[in-house]
Amino acid sequence: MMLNLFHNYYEVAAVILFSIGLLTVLLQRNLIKKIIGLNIMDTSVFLFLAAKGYIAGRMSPIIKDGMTDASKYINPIPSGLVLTGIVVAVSVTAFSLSLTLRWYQQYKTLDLDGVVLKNVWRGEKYE
Amino acid sequence: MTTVEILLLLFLIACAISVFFIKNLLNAVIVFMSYSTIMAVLWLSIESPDLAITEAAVGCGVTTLLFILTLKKINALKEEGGEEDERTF
Amino acid sequence: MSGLSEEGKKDVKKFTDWVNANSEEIPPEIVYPPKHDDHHGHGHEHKEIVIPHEETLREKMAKREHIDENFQEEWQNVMQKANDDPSSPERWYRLASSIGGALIVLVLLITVANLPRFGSPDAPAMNEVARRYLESGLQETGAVNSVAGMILDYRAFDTLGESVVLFTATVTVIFLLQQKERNHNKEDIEAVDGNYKGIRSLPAKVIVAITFPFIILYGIYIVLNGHLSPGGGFSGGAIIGAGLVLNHLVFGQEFSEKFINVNKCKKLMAGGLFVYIALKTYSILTGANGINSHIPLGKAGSIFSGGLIFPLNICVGVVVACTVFSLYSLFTDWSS
Repeated sequence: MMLNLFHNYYEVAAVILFSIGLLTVLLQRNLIKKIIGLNIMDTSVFLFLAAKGYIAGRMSPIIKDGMTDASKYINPIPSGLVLTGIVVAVSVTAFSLSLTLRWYQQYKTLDLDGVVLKNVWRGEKYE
Repeated sequence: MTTVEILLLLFLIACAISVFFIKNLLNAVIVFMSYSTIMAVLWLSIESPDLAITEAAVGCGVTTLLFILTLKKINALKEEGGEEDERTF
Repeated sequence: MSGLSEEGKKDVKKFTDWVNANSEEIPPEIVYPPKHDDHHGHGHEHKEIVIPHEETLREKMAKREHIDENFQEEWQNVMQKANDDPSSPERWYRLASSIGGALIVLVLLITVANLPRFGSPDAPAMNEVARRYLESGLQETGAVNSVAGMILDYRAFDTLGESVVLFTATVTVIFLLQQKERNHNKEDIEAVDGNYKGIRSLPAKVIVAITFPFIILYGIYIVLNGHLSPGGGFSGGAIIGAGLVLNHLVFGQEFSEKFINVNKCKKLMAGGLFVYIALKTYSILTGANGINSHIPLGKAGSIFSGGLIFPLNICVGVVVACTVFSLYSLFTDWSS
């Protein structure tokens, strides 16, 4: 079973990248860093999916010379799914970056925890 | 080929870890851009050229552009407020 | 407001007028000052609203500016203290999230160890669906590139949702970042926008003038050949959008606005989505399950083949290119 980990090196790398992205989102207080962490998590999931579709020694799913034999090509489904995912990831990034700009305009800081403290110092109470 | 792929995967992990530790946000964004480029090369190596070309154009190009524009705007807002702190906070 | 006495309402009205007259100087957060714990006057409602004098407001603003200036230093000190203190909640949070991350990695690694081997041909992911896409995809969709045939024919509804997500993201960014109506006086625009005339570097201008047509041509090639080679609407559209952004960066808004701006982008995006929906509706109404439409598939491998995939790729490419350019110009033009 442990030997399988050495064969599945793509999946192992994807898992490690996922944890790094998750820790970036959890531990960094900076909003831009958090968004980069989300992007890292995205790409790690895409890497995992694309690696599951790969079959050693086969061609990419572009039909060559009218040869419609499924045993010559890799799996096209993960590619299609990941293609959708990449574009959605970019949309989410653009949306969260514009929210970050508004946030900075309001609070003059990118620090998530700092805002609470700042409001306390200003003498404002939020109920 | 396998050795190259493992090296690229290790480089990918190194990029992700250094994004966590880099203090300057612009440097972090540029390291993330190189991360996306490596990802495009890896997708070419697992026979998914569609993904490679999309990642190179969208993930590496457009995402980095948006991040850098945001940082530029934040620096402009910072200068308006009269704060001359270089620490990206 | 409704619980106020007549006198209190008058006071609020007076204060609001005064605020409107001086609105540039006063931040909106302190329009309503916090309630004072007066020793007297618990019974009188109107005394709970205290209208501060102008001097008080100025004092508050000065205090606030002081806080804004010294905020970062103080905050660093506080966080430093919290990190040094072994019993602080910050430290517990860090510890707990590290342990949680390690646990997630452990669980996922156990799962990965039990998965079929990387690159094995008998993996369960290669099921009858994938085989069907590969074996009869060329006959049914006419696309040489199986991925393009899959996302734009078998799963075209999925791709429509994806384009709508892009459109929605752009609309949200427009809501969040669009600035107030600017004067269309030329000098005003030049004063506000540093990039009206473009950059002054001559080598950059020459290089971009040479490469810009090729970038756009390459993007169009990728969009049009989406069913024959890797690429398609998304990557080609992103390349065209990046070319337009480069043009705007180097030659400035004055030149770039001649052929594209945000308003045109919005119309083009909506038009692209509409054409997409119309084409797909036609295909669903005439054919069975959206696959066997009466559109000729053409000879496989030629540019006019693949039935609806060719126009759908163009629609997606237009939507993506306009998204990229309008996101860029919204992020650039936006000023507080």
